Amino acid sequence: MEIPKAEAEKVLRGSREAFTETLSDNLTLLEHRIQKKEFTCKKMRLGRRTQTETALVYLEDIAYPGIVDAAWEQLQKIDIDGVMDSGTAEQLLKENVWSPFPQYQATERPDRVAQSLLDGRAVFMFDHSPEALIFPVTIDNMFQTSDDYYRHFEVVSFLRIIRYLAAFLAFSLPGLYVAANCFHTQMLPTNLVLSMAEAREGVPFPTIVEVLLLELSFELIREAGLRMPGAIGNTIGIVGGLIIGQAAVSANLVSPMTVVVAALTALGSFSVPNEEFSESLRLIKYINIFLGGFLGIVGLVLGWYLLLVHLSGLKSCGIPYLSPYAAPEINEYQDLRDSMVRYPLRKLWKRPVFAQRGQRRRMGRGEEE
Amino acid sequence: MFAENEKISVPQLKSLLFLDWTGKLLLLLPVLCRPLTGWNFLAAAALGMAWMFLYLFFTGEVSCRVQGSFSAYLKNRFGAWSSYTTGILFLIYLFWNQTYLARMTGRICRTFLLPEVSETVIAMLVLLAGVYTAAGSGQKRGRLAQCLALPLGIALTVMLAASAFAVNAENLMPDTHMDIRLVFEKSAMVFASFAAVNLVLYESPYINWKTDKRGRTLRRCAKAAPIFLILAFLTAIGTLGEKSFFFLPWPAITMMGDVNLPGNFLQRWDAVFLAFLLFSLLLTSGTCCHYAERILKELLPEKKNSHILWGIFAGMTMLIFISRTYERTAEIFSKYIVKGVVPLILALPVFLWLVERGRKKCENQEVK
Repeated sequence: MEIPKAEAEKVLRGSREAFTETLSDNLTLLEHRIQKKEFTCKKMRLGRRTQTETALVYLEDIAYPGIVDAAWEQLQKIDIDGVMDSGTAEQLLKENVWSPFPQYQATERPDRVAQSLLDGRAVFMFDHSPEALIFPVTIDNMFQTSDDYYRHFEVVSFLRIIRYLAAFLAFSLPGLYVAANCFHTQMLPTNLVLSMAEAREGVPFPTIVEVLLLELSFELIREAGLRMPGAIGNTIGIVGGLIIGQAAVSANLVSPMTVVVAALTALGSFSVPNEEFSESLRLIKYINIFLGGFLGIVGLVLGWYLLLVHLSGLKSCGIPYLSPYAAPEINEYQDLRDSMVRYPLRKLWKRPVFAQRGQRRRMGRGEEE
Repeated sequence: MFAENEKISVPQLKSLLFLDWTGKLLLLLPVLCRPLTGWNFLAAAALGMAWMFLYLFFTGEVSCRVQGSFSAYLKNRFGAWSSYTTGILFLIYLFWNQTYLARMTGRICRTFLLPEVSETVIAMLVLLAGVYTAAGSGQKRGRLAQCLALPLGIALTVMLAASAFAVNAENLMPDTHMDIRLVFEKSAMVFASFAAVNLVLYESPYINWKTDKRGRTLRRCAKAAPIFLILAFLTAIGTLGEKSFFFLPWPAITMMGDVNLPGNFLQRWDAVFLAFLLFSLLLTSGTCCHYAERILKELLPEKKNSHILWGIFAGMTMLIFISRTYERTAEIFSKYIVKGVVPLILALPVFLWLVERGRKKCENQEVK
């Protein structure tokens, strides 16, 4: 069995292993981390014509039976001619099909799956798919990486705050820039307003068009880079980012300030560890650009508020998506210790809310301070 | 599953009360208490809030008696007419409260942020946000409030602390005499502006109380907003002075216009403050729609329940258009709703408590 290296979820510290495209190999990778007798593996075949082998893996004494049973039932209900990848099943399993946000966490890392099982979560694995689907998920999981638990808590906490800020930039910065430019110049210091006006001198488009133009160009570069083979893809990124950006500024199509805003937005979007979550934020960014362009800060607040309302109503296998920020009392506020800020590992003696109530202690009393 | 019991927790109720009151009352109380200003205003506000705290005893006690829905409780005790009458009273209050809130938000946004955009457009957007908040389970509102309360509370407090640097100690020296009669009169208005707390009676079966001492729980949940409001008004009076506080339509926002944080990162902080307040106002709009939906669901037969929220949206839209301007809405709200409907709503728990007490006494005598 040749084990590939993790490509989509790279880490600075910890295992480099990734799942293969064969289910049996992937289960073996999992057995290397958690003893086989510890986890339960239920198998079934999915897809009338493809008969894709599918496994549900969980730790029977820790995972919440209600969640696991409901998910298994949901999987059994899928009636489709073929399942080619975990992505197809994920979409069919989603509770809220209209939400752009991922309700399952796709991962290629066996160590991440093993850690999730220990947390009381469960995993779907599919043959011919190098990604496992972890459930339930919360918004917090989208900002965590597997090496978060291998590094010092101070650094990890700082990085997590940075990731949250990055996510905010990813969906809000262009909207804020448009709103400030179109409606609220009086809010900004005079020097900044002057330099913004100077930078925009000669640009024939209104700010909203300028921002949309650049953001859409960036999407083009990104899409072209993704479809090209490795080295050419990187080149396209550099050519697109540097040369086209520079040329657009020289041709007075966009202002340098807008290029800075688009670059920061892109950096923000790449800093969110979960790609699917980051993609959802990218979509929302466009809504925010329009809201900021038509209603200024009022439109943006409205956009942020409606996004929060949407997320408040979202659940993943019965767990509130906004947990642990919403309803932290369910697990006596312990989950907040591993949220935006991570406490030292010794303080994380309790399993998250996903685990059965009687099985929430993960650490021996001697380790607890 | 454990998160699907349709109940909100006590911390969520606390967050809801804080957000529902903070934004709305920060803007509404100075208007309701005119011509009071300075220490007279502060005394009226504090007294009104103290009354509200005492009053929560009745709401808490009555909510203990409510098993199932509040409408069903009223129906069992006094007949169907009582649940309909009470429901209609609350609905009138909620519909006008929503209209006033939407119009006020529209006017404020137009004054401070978007002079080019029509007040009615913003009012309609506020209403739409409210309807979207109310759609779905009641737990959604609880989670939303819990996520918003802490960051918003911190942000507003930091801004308040920043504006406190501009406080002029002379402004806080009382230079007008205390008009006791007017202070008492206006404290009743402050008390009336907290009338929404009685909606807890409708929400009671959907709250995970965990204790029978509900009055105490309610008081614990309700204390954050009054403390914040008093501090905000104190800062506003200290910053602006009694006269400006009297003449300005929304002194709390204007006060933020004078804030200068070190580094001069932003020229005007009032826009940021208002942006934070908007979250609270939008949530309050959601609260109005949520309770209107809950009451109508309890009153109407189940078959007609499917499109209630759209009906509420249509009704509230109609009121927003009928009321035409903010001034007219404010006049109707303070003249007819605050003085006509609200006293009846406030009297209800006291009346119910007396009835329950009398009933208990009778039962005890029969046992003896």
